[in-house]
Amino acid sequence: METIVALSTPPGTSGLAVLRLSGPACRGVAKTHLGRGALQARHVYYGAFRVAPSGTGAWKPGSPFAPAQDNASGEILDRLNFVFFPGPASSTGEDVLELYPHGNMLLVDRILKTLLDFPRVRLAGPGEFTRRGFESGKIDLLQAEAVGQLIHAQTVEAVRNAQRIVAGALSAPLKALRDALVDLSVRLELDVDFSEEEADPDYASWVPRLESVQAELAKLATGFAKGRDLARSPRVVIMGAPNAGKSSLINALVDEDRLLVSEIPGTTRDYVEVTLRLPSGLVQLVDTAGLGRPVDGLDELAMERTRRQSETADVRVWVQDGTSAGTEDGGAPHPFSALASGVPAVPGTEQAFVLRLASKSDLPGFHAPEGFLPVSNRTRAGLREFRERLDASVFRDRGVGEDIVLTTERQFRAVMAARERVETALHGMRGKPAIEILAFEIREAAGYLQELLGEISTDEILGKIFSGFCIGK
Amino acid sequence: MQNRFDVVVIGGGHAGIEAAYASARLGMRTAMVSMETAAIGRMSCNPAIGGVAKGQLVRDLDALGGLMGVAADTAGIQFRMLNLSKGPAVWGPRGQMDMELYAETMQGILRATPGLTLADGELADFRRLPDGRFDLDFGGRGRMECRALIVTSGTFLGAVMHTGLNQTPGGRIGEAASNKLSESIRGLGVRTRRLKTGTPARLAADSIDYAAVEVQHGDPEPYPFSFRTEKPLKNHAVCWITHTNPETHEILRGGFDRSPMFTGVIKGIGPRYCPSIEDKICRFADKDSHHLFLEPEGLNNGRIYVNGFSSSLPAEIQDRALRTLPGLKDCRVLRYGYAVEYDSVESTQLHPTYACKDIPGLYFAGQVNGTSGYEEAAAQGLMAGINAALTIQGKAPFLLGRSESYIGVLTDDLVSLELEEPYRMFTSRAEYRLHLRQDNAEERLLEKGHGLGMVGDDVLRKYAAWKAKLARARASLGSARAFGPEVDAFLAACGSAPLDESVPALSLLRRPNVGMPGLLESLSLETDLTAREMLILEASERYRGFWDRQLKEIERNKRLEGLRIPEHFDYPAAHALSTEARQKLAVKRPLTVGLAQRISGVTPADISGLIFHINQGTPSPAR
Repeated sequence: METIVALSTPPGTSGLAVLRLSGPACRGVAKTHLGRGALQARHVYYGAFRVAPSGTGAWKPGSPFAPAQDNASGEILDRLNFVFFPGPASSTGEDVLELYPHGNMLLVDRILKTLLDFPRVRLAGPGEFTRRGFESGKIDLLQAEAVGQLIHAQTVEAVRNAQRIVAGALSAPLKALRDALVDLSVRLELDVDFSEEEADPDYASWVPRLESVQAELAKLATGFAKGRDLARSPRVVIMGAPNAGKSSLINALVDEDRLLVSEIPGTTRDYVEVTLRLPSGLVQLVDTAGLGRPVDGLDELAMERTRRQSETADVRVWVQDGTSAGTEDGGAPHPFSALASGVPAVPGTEQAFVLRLASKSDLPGFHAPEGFLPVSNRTRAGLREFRERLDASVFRDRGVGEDIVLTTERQFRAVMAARERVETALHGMRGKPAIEILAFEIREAAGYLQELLGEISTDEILGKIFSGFCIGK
Repeated sequence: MQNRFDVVVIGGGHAGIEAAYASARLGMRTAMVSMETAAIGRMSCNPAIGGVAKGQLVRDLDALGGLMGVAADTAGIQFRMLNLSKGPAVWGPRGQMDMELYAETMQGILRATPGLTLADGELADFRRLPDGRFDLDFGGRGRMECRALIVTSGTFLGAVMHTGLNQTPGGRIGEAASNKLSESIRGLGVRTRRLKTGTPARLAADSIDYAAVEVQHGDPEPYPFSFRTEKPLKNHAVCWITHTNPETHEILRGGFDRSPMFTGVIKGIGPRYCPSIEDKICRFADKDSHHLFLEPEGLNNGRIYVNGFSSSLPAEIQDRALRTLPGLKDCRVLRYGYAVEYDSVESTQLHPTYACKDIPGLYFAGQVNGTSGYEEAAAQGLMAGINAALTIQGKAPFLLGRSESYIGVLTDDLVSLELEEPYRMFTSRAEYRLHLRQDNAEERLLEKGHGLGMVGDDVLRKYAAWKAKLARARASLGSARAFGPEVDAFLAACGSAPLDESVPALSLLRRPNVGMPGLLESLSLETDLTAREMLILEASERYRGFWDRQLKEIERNKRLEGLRIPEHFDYPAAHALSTEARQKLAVKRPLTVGLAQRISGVTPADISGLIFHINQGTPSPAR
């Protein structure tokens, strides 16, 4: 087994960096480069990281990184903290060594190169630490998947859901369901293979248990819609008349000049997406072309695109110029202003605006109509409140509370397939059951859940038969 | 003694018989050497062939041209189809045998097999010659040379028998162990492990009070094991059922301090599915009664086998315990139960041809590979015999997949699983059991058997005519329409819903519990099909939907499953594989990608890498 190593922190300048090794070479690395022959488990050490002195045997012959000859005692690359986690009580099930050098990439690179020169140490592939954890049985497949989701989660709720799955909150109920199915399978297999020895089991008594399995699976499947939403960051589409200040609003929110703005109405022709971090998570702000009286064909196309963006929005925000200057005819009501007063953004749909803003509150003649939040992109007045309200409205309905939801297509498909098999089996059980067919459906159902958990255990059923029943004619 | 052979088979048990017969049948000059020619085909344990899953193995073996089914039909004295209360997919034929007649039948067939020499002798030592042949040393009894050596030594390698704390070297009562062979095998680097099995007491048939036990009859119209059997089978004997009671258990417990199992004298691992009576009492302390079956060992030999009472407790304890059983108060024990500890070969060292991966030409088959049961042994013997012949002839090996036969399941399990206890076949082991039925063994395998040369032209002709008859019946039932009050009444009697519209009659067979004879009657249709033929049609219809579902899965896996890995594949040079996979594969050297896939530590990524190398042309070893 090769030892893997990777930089666990993002590349770049930072106070500290974290280098992680997993595999049998950890002890050798500590001895050769950190001067520690005996290591206490989970103890924080401080010491010098040295390139191996020549002649220690740790260097591969002909290595391009052979140390300089004058470096007899080994050059010190950094003084750092490190911790040793001996297997199997580690996250990967193998020996793990974590190094915390200073976060200078020149330094980190040299340490990494030195480690890679150690015999049978190589760079870890993507997700390989987690995969080793899965392969050594430390975590199941659901937990392994959730580790990836935890790292990449875009919202606080998604982080919480992933954390709960990593802790086993989804595995536990699925294992309970799988156990119920395997139990029934054991009964059925016993009946098929050892009919000479044990009396026929009472299958009717299994109907209620199987019905509750069925209900649980249905509940999990339903939760997937929420889980899928959880996995992506919500889209906030900013709409309004040309030159209402939509692009300026986004620039002000993200605190940089991301979008081109000008006095000229219709500067934004196509929609543009910008990521904004809100307290509850990341959202995609979508800037759109203003909705006004089309001047040319291009305007019409641009507005059509805006409408399409509106359809994909989780939340729509209407921005309106709070001074009369923004209206085209100098005071006449904006032809689309009806949109702002709660009618659907796309006629014939339920797509209403969740938030309405009156911009340019710092200019004279500003007036915010009722229900409009006054904001100034220039002075930032009102922006803080807008962020808070936006956060509340975006994330209000996306919480999953205490429920654990399925988050991947793989999980959803497996649960649906298991559910279908259980349903067929239930149908058979209520009538006069054909045992071998019942066994087939139940085994498939259990198989889908085992697949979901990443377990392949063909012997599990026989093992249970032998431990629980008196076999042996 | 002529001493140059193509194939030499060591052992005359169920594996040895099939191996020697197959090899000779495929044109190899074959010798079968056993310690005693008269003991060929002797049944060491229970006097029965078949059972659930085991019966399927015999049927598959028969369709491929093996002998066990023919001999069982000839020597059977009572036949029962097990699991009749369930669907036909899990029915298993079982027959009680006249043990002497069974052995005689086998010996007769083998003596009449051209190209097969039977010899007495104990293989003491053997070595592989530079040209790949084997030089066999039978101690004082001479030498032999062969191109392939098939070892089917059963429980005889390093065997020790236990009764109480007494130990006797030997693989079967009154027969010596093969200790020298065990050593020479290990000397070649073959890894072995210690296993344990046991057998119950045998009683004098005339010492049992039959009024006190329950009778178990055979089926009125027995199903033959063999497609080649023409004559209807008859039952000549019955079995009986009795059971243990608290007094029996008390007596047995009194002997636990002298049990070789519980005192740690026996180190070998025994089968959990065939525990000794003391084991049952110990593990299931809350049960105060266990079923026992009294089975005749023949029509005239006067011996009764006490099925379920396997024991290695001291004779005196067994004796007292037996007398507490209803009907056995005055029983006379002919032979007490005993346990056997023996060396078995770790079967993961074998290819699915049963050839040793590290020693070309050396085959192991049967109980020596850690299986239990006559049927499991016979199936391995057949595969080893066929493949030894094919290899010598320079032909491609004959392999069976898990979806083709129970023999495929058995072989695949043996070469890929690290066995922890003796291996017995169960239908639960076969993921495709709805397809691997005893009724369709011929459809699955007979043409393959003929292609190999194992099945004669006459049998193939009979099969072809029979297959055509079934096809006609299927077609006519497919075009007949079913509808109306008679059909509804019949369906209601089967617990099935009435028809809304006219449907093809055949489709009704997919409903559970709908049988063909009743259906034909409700449609007023005549048929020339026998009961067995109707069963085949019924079963194939009933499971069609499930089989289609599984077929899709099989098709997906098939390409991978069967993709051959070249024999001299250079794993160290296969850079697309992880180091771990390279090492593991280099040790196990699987024959196909399917087998590689089941080796722990070989990931899907490694499998892609492996396929890449195979398609690219192998990295070949430096010449």
